[in-house]
Amino acid sequence: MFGKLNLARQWRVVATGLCFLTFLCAGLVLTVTVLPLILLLSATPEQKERRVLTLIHYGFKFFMRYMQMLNPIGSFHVQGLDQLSSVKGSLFIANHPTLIDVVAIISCLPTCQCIVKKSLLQNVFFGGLLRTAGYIANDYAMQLMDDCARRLQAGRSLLIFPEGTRSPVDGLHPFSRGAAQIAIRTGAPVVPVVITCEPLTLGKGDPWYAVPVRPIDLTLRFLPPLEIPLAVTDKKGIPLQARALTRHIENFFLQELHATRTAGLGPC
Amino acid sequence: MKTKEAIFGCIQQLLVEVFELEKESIALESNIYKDLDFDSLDAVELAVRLGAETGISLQEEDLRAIRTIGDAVDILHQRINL
Repeated sequence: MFGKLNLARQWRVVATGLCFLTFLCAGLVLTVTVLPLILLLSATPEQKERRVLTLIHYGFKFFMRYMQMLNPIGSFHVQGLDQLSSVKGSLFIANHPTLIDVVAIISCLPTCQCIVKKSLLQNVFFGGLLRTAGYIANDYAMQLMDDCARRLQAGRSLLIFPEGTRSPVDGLHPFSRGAAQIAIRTGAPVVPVVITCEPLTLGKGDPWYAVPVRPIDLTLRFLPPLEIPLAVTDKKGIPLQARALTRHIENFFLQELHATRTAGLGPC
Repeated sequence: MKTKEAIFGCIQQLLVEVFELEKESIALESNIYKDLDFDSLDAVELAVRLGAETGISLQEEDLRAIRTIGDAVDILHQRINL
């Protein structure tokens, strides 16, 4: 039995490597083949952006199935998405336990742009696709705020990870205030996405080949838009409102993750 | 508001009112990001408020140069007394 387990785990090391390789190669191939066609054949910047967003959405959808087929992912469940009355113009806020969180969430949301680390937009394999799709670097200047407001008003949704980097093993990084700033300045509905991953994998600092003892079960829970409490709206001025809202969102995620852990649905 | 002390007083007052910081925690050597938990949007907000108080408009390159309260005092003192 242990021999069989060991073989299965060894396969998942190979499969994980294959997944990384596929992701990078696919990104490069799409960048040099499909992206130039989209740029050439699109009449407007909006059309160009929408087409690349659609390409990324279906690419990530396929990639999630590919990872399940090769078995690093044992199961991938999405809950609550069909109960959202609208995704357009929403600000999705997620915790960030693994490297594949963006792929998983965007595979569910066709017109969602993501606020990401600047280095991802400069990545040679897929940076061109992300930039053309309108993904945004997470340095929060006023121009970014105006940009976010325009995109949300145009019906795009935005995805942001307030931790700014992958979560530590035992909880959450302190949330940055960018998400709260966008929410307050734009009035966009704030939709929490709670990601659980059992067992944890591909965390910060983990080498790619450190696969867990079994295939992971990844779950995305899309929850109803957050009600912004009086404790936030009563604060005078955006800086204090942003601080209060950030604390509120962070506590919300801590409670949801604690409830998940208590219910035995995942360690994160 | 021509002296550095007056400018510091103005900044301190703004930080207490707008950001609810403790007066005692604000010093010339306070790093706005590390000690006062500012992010770039807070820096912009402070610049806007200081602009309204002093009539001096701080630009992006000014904000990039400001790390401590002392830096802000120096830049404003220089501009006010030009």
